[in-house]
Amino acid sequence: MSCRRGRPELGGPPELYYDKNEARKYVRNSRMIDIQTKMAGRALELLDLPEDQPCYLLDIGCGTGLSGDYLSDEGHYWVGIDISPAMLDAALDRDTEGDLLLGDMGEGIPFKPGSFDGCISISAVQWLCNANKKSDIPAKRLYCFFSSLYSVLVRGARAVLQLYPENSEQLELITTQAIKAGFTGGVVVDYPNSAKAKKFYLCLFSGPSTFLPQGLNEVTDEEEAKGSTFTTERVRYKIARRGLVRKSREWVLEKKNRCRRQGREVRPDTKYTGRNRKPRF
Amino acid sequence: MKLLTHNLLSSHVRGVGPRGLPLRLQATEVRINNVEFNPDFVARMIPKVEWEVLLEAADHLRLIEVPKGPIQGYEQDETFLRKMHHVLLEVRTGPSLASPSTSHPH
Repeated sequence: MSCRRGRPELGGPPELYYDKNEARKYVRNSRMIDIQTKMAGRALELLDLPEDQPCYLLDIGCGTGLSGDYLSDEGHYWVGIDISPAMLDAALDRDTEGDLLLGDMGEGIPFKPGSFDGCISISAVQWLCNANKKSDIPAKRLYCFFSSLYSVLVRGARAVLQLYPENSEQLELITTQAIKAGFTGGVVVDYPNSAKAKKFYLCLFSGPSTFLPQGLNEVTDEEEAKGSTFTTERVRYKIARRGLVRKSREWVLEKKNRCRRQGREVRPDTKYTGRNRKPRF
Repeated sequence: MKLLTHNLLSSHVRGVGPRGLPLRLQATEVRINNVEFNPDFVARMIPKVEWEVLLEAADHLRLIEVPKGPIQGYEQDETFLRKMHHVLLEVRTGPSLASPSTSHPH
């Protein structure tokens, strides 16, 4: 998932994108393993399970089972679902603890109601926002996913889904569908001021709403590039400026606004803002 | 696949049986993996188990020593929990890759 090549979601359907080559990276690349394990750790922390009690968890988009290994280390039992056979083959080779299922989360999760004590998912849910077939409707697939997830969790359980939304609209689409399916909760953002370490965790509660955990905010220098770039925001800003005539009133107002947003000291806007001086000057 | 997972699986394909249960087990190999015994976890899983499905699966795999149903006070009964632990978590059927969406005609 490097930034240089753009978002992997744009590279075709996940079952084809995560081929043998991609799966090998998730087995061999120590940096990727490190990041996946760290995110799994954070997700488990947000899941806030009762202490010293082994739980039965669901891992959606388990891939090669890196996050599952972390769960096993913590003493939990898990079942993983993934859409990519190559990734699951790699997981089988690694001999993971949990059971693996080949399935598409957009078609629902095939378990009996109330089976799991919690659910985690690392970098998977944003795939549902892409339609790779004409028959795919992202909102419908998301709703199907969330409603079946709601039913397989026990009452009061949580689901923590780490995801890379492409832009704010995508995030809103995902949260809307989750709320429609009956979940409460919201998004926890870790390191919101860092472009690279910024991580979104969608924390969903199936029971009565409790407090939402705080996102991490301390600056750690060893965080590496993994986040997505929020391109739409930048494009919108550029387009917004393109039409403006330089030195016109709108241009000046826009510039002053920008400086204000950056926290600089800016003179207030008046009727004289952006006016030409009289000839006597 | 563990029998616990098989037990909790249901098909989301519509119109299959009353609740999409149970999926027929197509086991080509049966392995026994040793898993650490955890009485708390097994005790918590027992109410979720669908016994008919479990007995049918155990019959299919020719397992012996499968309890016929939950007994009174099973939380304290260690021999019962150990048996259940073996059946639910240690017995693994292969291949692990089950595809719930494609195994339509159950």
